[in-house]
Amino acid sequence: MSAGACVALGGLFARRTAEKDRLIQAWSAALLRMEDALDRGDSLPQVLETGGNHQLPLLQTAADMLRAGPALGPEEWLAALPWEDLLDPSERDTLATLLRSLWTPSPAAQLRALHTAQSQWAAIAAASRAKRETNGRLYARLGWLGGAALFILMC
Amino acid sequence: MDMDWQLIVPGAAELRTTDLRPAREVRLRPGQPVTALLPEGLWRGQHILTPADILRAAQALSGHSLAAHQEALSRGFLPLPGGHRLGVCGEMDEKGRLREITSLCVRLCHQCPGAGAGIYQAVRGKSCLIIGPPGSGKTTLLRDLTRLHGLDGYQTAVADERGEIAACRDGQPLLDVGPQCDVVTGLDKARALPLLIRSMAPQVIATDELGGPGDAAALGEAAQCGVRVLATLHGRSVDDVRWRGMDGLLPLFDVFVLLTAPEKAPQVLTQEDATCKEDSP
Repeated sequence: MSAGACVALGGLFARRTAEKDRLIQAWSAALLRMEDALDRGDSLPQVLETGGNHQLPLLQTAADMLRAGPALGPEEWLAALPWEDLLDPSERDTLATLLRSLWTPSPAAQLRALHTAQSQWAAIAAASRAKRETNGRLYARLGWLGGAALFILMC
Repeated sequence: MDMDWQLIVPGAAELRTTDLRPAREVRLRPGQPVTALLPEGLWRGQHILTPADILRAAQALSGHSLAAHQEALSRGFLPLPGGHRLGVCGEMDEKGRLREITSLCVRLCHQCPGAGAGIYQAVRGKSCLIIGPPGSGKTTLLRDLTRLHGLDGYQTAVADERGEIAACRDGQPLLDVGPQCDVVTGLDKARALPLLIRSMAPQVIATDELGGPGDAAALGEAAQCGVRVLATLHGRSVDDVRWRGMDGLLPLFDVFVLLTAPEKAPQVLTQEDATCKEDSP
């Protein structure tokens, strides 16, 4: 039983690493779609919705909140967003800085903020992919090895 | 469309108990309270606005599309649903695009069906220039005269450069400009009038705020085609219009309507009245 739990734990860590990488890559794609929407001159809710593309609930919620009513300012809006647990605080900060910058009336400033976020996110995405390839496999193997060791010890 | 100022400026608690619906304009400036021009005079709030309040209000009023409307904003204002107008002032870049917002002026559109009923018979089927200072109700009267001409069986058209006369949204006028009315929005008068004459063959064209470089030529072309024009112009009198170098426009109109304030009755002058007035000592 303990051996099985060990294997499951290894698998869980490996799956979480893969899930996080998928989320990071989804945000990379979202930032590209948002750039297209900004180039088209879409409104902020449209930009967010296009970025989310039914894959990132946070962006869809952000767009819905802006459409629902004018009561929220940028800070209340950011605080009320359903941030994904998988994101680290530094990753959240990168995205929050971008979303805050999108409130500016200047399209040039919006695009500058987006390009900054894209370059920062490219580094995050590369690190995440490397982590998935190394750590993901490592967690799975450690789980199996730990499970096997426990099994042998108990026998 | 009534605006919910309490939601637009949530920091200003006094807006919960103050009705700004009758206001002609509402102004927001950082470091100062909300001010509104009500029929009874200037109203001042208490909450001191911050730059964040101004940005939040501007984004809320524009449907979070300030950046998407740079072209309109570079002209200084953004037409809002309902015929209202969001005037924006702030830091511009070298190309005239808005970088930062410092203050807002929301001019609220009020529709008054019947505003032109008292003078309609005097202006019916004639080219008419409505002259008045800002806030005197020129556009309101113009809209109602257009509506009354439409009800009277005239084919009417509106050259609505700033979207304040008909306030079209999704191709439909939100304000009542009467039946049988065609609206072109967003084009300057010099291009809109010939387009309307060619495409829709109207009998009456209404347009707001003359004074652009090609306006006189476009009105002249309309007169040659037998089209009557209802138009507005900033000014205090016919003489005021002459002194400001726009006397070339005056022969194109049959009657002049002078407005001094929204609550005062308009004064109708014929071309002869206006000429006599100039000749008298």
